[in-house]
Amino acid sequence: MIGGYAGKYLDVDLSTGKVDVRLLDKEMVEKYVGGGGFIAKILWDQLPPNADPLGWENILIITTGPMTATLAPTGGSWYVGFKSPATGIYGEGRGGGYFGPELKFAGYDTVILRGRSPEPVYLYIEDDKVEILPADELWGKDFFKTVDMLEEKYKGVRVLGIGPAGENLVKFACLMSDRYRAAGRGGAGAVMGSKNLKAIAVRGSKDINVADKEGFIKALKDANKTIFEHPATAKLLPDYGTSSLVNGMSAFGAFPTRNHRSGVFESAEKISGETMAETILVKTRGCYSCNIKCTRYTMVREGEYAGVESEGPEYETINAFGARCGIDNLEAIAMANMNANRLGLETISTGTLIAFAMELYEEGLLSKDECNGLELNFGNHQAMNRLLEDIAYRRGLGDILAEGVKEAAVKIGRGSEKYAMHVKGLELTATEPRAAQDSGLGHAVASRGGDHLRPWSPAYTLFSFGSEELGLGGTPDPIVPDDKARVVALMQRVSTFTDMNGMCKFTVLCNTLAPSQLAHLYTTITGISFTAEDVMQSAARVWNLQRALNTIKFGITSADDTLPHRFLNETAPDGPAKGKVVELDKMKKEYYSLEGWDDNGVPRRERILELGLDFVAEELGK
Amino acid sequence: MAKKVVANKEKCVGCHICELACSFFLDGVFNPKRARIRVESGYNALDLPHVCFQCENAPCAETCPVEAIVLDNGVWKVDKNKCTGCGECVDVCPYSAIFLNLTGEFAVKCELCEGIPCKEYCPNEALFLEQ
Repeated sequence: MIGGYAGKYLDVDLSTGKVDVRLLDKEMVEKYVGGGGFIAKILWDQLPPNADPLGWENILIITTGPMTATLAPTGGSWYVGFKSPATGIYGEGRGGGYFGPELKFAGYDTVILRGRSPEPVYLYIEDDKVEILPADELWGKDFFKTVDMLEEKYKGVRVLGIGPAGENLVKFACLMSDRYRAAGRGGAGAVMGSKNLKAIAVRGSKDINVADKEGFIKALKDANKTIFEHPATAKLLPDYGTSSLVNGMSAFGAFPTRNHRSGVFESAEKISGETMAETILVKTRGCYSCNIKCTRYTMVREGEYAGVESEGPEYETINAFGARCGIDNLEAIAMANMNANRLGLETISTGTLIAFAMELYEEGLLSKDECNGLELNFGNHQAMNRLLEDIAYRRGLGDILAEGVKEAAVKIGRGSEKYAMHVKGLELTATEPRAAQDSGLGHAVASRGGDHLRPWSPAYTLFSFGSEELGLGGTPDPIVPDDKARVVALMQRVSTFTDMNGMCKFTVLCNTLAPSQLAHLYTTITGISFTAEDVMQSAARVWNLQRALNTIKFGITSADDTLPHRFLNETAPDGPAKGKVVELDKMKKEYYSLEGWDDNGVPRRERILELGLDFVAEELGK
Repeated sequence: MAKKVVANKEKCVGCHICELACSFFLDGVFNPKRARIRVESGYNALDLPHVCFQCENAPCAETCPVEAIVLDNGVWKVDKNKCTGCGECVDVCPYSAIFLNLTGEFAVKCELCEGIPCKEYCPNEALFLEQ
């Protein structure tokens, strides 16, 4: 018996209403583990390369990993995969909360959603009962209301779904679960909306088995000990959440400010985790099976935003709605965060779009009339909150911004492309790459475009969280390109693996758990023998399969592995990286060579064969 | 005073690790619907662990029509052979801390197992043993 997995998946055709229950394939498990591995393999095998991302032929995959719904630390993850409407390439995201484990308790590792329902529907799963039901009453409702209505109908149910942004096909609408958890950068919510699917409600009562119980307890105790001793997972994240990074990142000159003009925000302290703890923090929480506990539950008690309550805002959200928009009002950021959650807007991209519009307004490229009558200066938090809703409902300028920053710049013209902060159409994130060169490389080559988490290498290059097992030691210099390709490649491996196995990246983000510990947990739960090398190799296999999808099927070339104009041509105006641009070409060349990719960025045949991806080799050079 | 597991709801983070630990160490599988401790997580920062209070005058035992809930060394235990799964104890427990098993055949509750894994694995010291 293979432990950890539920062993079955659902294949749902929304066009016909047909639901099939299928057994999980052993080879699928052994070679691709779960999460992003399952997603990449299913998309490779089943997605027509030229599929319209918002057409019936796109496939939306909701999946888990073998650690999901177990005691493995942070074993609460679910993942979503699709062809992205924002980028036209590989799309993937990871969510926490409670939905993923509940899906497994219902007996399913994965749900594949195909086609397009003729009418709005939701999917209801309760163990062996799977129903596609009319969603007339839910359609048009925000996500909070959607959760309330489904919970009232089915006691103890866990809900994943979309808000109005997804229904309105906003290209960066995300999936939401459990009210406040989000996933699916690049428009998973729009894909779900295009399928006329509002929500998935699930409750389950089945067992998840463990192959080697005694061995697992040992692996678990060892991993927990490391988590409770490592400064990132024992102190920073539990004490101040992800926003513990705000002050440090600004001091490093790596906290993007005013649409990435600078990496130093003069008012960082006012929007920091420390300030949050003293003002709007109500309670510390954790996702399912999480012993890191980074979630903040917050409530604004007074002033114009009184009554706003939500989980978060997280580090990325604080930067996106805060520094990047020149806003130092934490309560206004909390408002934007709550509304993004309610409306189903992904906060990183939404903040990037608003910061982009603010810079165009200040540069005189957009008039007040064109900005829905808003004085869209950096720092105007009332305008930011108004524009956020206009994006979700596609009103005026919001309709243009809802296309994503790459397409919005094309629509606006007037030289605005220069201010569009994205890679391959996915908006950039809360790390200033001139101050952490590795992060420039990471963003440029990641599978889903401007990715902030695969890897978040500044944990090592800025904060010196190293790893003996990975060979990352000492105090690296973040503003030189040397050795950064190696750092990025290594850290990509471990974060890719935690995006496959059902755990949260925060167990490896700051190199807390080592590959050998991940291997030990995986081996004892599943009964499939894995070494640290197998962890790295399976992650490399999945990473390269994602790359093969992008290059062979979706037409990505080396020219797409680039960064916005600003980082390559404008020097950082202040902070430790003052006078620097990103030296991308040197790092990229080294990275391609380490990965075994040719000058066009396509994985070489020998690399593909070495990773056991023979079916990819067959497509090479066709 | 009886020994019992006591929960501090202010410290509970809603991770449900106690449920996983309970089902894993007592049933050998992960399944919160087998657990003898259950956390109710709302979306308003309220996480409420429910676990047997080992009441002195236990309404569950008093209500049980077949006297299947018996005191053993200060701990209330369910005699599975006697229990008919009628669920009356579940209805009267003021702490919502007794449950029917998966198949509805008998009641389950915290009987203070050895090692108390729910407490051991709680990541935020929200559970403790009172005696």
